[in-house]
Amino acid sequence: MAKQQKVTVGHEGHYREVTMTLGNNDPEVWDAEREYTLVGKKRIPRVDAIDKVTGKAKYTHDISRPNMLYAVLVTCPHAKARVNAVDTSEAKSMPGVVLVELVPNLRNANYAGTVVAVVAADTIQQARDAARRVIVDYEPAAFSVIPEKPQAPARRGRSMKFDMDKDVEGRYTLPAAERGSVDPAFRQADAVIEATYTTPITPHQCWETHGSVSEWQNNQLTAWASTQALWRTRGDAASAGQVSISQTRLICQHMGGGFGSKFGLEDYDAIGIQIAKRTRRPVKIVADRWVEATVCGYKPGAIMDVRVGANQDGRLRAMSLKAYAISAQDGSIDAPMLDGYTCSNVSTSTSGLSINVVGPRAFRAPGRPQGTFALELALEELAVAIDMDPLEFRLKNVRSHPTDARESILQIGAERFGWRDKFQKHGSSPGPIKQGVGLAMCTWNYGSGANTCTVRCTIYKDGSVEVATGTQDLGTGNRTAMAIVAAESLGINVDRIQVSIGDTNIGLQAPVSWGSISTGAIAPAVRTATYRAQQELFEPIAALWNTTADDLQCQGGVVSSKTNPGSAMPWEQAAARMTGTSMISVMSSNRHLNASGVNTGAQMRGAQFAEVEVDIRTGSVRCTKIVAVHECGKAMAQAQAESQICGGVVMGASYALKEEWILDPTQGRPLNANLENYKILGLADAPEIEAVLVDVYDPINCTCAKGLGEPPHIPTAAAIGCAVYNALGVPIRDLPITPYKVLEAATKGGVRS
Amino acid sequence: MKRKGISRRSFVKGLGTGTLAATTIPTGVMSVSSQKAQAQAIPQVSGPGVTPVTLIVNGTAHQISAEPRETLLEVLRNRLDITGPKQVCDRGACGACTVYLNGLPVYACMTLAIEAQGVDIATVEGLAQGDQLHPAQEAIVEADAIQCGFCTPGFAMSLAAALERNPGASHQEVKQGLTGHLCRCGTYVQMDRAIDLARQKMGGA
Repeated sequence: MAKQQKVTVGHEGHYREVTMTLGNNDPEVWDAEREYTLVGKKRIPRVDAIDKVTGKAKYTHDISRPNMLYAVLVTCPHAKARVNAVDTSEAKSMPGVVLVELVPNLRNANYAGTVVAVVAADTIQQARDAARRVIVDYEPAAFSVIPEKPQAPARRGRSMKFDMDKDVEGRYTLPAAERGSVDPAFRQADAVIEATYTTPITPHQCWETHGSVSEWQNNQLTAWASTQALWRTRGDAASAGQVSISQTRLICQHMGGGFGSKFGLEDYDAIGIQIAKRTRRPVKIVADRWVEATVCGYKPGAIMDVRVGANQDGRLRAMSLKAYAISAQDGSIDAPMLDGYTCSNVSTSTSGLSINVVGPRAFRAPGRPQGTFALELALEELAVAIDMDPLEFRLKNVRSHPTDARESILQIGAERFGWRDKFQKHGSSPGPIKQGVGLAMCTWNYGSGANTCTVRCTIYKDGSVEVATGTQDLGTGNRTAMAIVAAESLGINVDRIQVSIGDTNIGLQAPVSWGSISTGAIAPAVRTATYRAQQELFEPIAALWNTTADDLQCQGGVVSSKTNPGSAMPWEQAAARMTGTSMISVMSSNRHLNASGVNTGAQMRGAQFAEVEVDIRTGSVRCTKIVAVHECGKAMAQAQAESQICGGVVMGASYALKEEWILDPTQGRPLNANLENYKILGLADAPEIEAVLVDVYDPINCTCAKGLGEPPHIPTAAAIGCAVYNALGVPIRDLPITPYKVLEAATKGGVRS
Repeated sequence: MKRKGISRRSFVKGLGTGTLAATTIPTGVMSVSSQKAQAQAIPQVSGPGVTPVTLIVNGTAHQISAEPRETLLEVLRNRLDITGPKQVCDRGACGACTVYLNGLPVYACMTLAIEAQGVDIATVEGLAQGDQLHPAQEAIVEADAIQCGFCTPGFAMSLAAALERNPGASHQEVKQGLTGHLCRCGTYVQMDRAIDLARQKMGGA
């Protein structure tokens, strides 16, 4: 059985109607014509805000179990060493020490911070004392923490270590790494910029460090872990405990940030689980700040050789990128050359430069903030070379699609920012404090939420509703988005909705929170489950009113007939009419819709405009304002979506101006594995941010929701980099843009006050 | 040698237990003022092993045994299960562990528990009056100045303290009072709004 719906798709100024075929049991698609009550209309405080602001929210760090052991790590101080022997005898005899476990089969330590052993004791102090008495016989070896470009050419193509599940329609497949022929095109271009751009390694520095608590009871394992991937982490816990998955429960009610670094258990967590099994005592093992910064992943640094060429009329002729990721192993760097701009001749390659650090991890749009910084600053330089306004230059070359809002996003951003009034030629700002403006585009190809998510909606006899799925809330606001979608779908108040997540006992799988896919997967599942549960609730009432369930609706807490407005009753009364049962419970999964010729895929667009002040006497850079225009399809939770944008911008400004992982070249150890010398942006440094959400109705699912976690972090550093160039008239091609680099560039470039 | 006040031995004896377990004595049993008097009488030299520690947290006196090197944050979290104050940097850089000592905000990670005896310790758990949030907490909720929430207890404590100290404080003055805090999720724009909302609620704007 199928039904048809006329759906209004597109964005402001570009709306059109398409006819979509839906299953009879499917909810209608939320489109541009719908009269929303909550979605996009109201700023709803987070449903867990009170728990968080009163200290009641329990994170993994806050879990304490009776008779619990504290575990502490013994880590290698050398950047590279052979581990000859480990003597634990003294440590084992220390007060309170219960067990000292060696990391199995560890022969070589390849970075400072390599975990060698785990010490478990009654108190954390006892465990720390004993960890210092574990005597390891290291044989230090030659190491490298200074990356050097290889002489051999980089491999063609793009690798993705990050095993993102593939969309059924292949929508995640990235364009080929090459199109056209770059060399002849560069020869024909009127202007070519060729330069090297570099970005630093930056650790995630999650506020809640990586960690877990594990407890065994009757051969059942319960683990609490700070994770972005409830189900994968449960699998990791089961295999660490050598117990079946069905006998393993994983809980993560609240977590203190992940940013791409928490997709499973750490190896040391696995040892903690084994210690808990052997001692029959719960074990808590959480990274201290040094371990968090040193061992729990980072965004790879990058060295990027970029060439861009254009004709005098502003048309891009050719672009090429040779990127080298600075990390322990291969890591991919990804400039939006193929999917960002209409340029016929493009060539990109990426490979890794190995240094002695721990392996890299996904970090908020893996590879993109680095590549976007290089590409956008190179394009800015090219615009200057052909004497063209950088905004006009982008507008001339953006890659467009019939339902793609990219051009609109640029125009909206330029207007909100006041680009045409503010832009002055590069290097023309007078005086010692130079003003500058810059912009950068954002393109990201994930976030369609094609991964399966199953939600259960339960309507109780008193009218209260529970929506549940096994997702986790990193701080993005998943709980809140679920409550809002459920309330919008059911036509009742948000406070009637109870959201249950963060526990595998819920038994309903939701995707890993990566690739900005959560909202796009969860929202349609919530919409479908609530719709179907409500239809079931409506059946007896429809019979009472001599109509059918699909003639009934609920708005503002009142159930009524669409055709006969005289038939109406309050939601609570409708719920009380359920007979033979005390609840109606329906499980539904999300479904990917395909409106032929309409879907843009999951590509999420955005643009950011930055304003900076650069003091050439001190070298300090202040980012004073960012206008960030983004689309995530239709934003489900307005306030939280805006917060994602602002958060991504702040992290991007921090990346542009402050953050830098410093490895001591003589010792190979980090010099700032803490939060006092690893600088991040603070409240007083933060720019004024105007977050603008553009609705783009792209019916890839019944809510038009897409993700937003990663995109806002992609273009910020690039926009700031362009603005600093605009202010000084000299580009600084190396992040972070610290005072030293500004002074050096100003001196070399002869910048005058 | 006879010391004035309470000796370590009599203190432990008085507890009736030699274990490390935390015992909580409601203020009704032993008044806060007598707790303070006893705490102040504790000898200046203690440790290196566990030593009796008396802490008055959110109006409740807790008698526990802890090592002199344990920070107030460690004792609150690990021995008293008061987990609102968070351990993030553990070195006085981020502010997530902020508590009040006699009403003044301090970093609990930079304070030894034994130093915090004899004063009123308040944590974020004591900021609301029952279900009635402090205006600073209300402001943070309404401005959505929260993402993961790990820095939130610290921000709430300092925002409340800045306005309690001076309800007429300007936006900049209140902001100054929050510069000891960092947020990794980047909720500064919302926190800026929370400052103004809190100022309005407390009558300063």
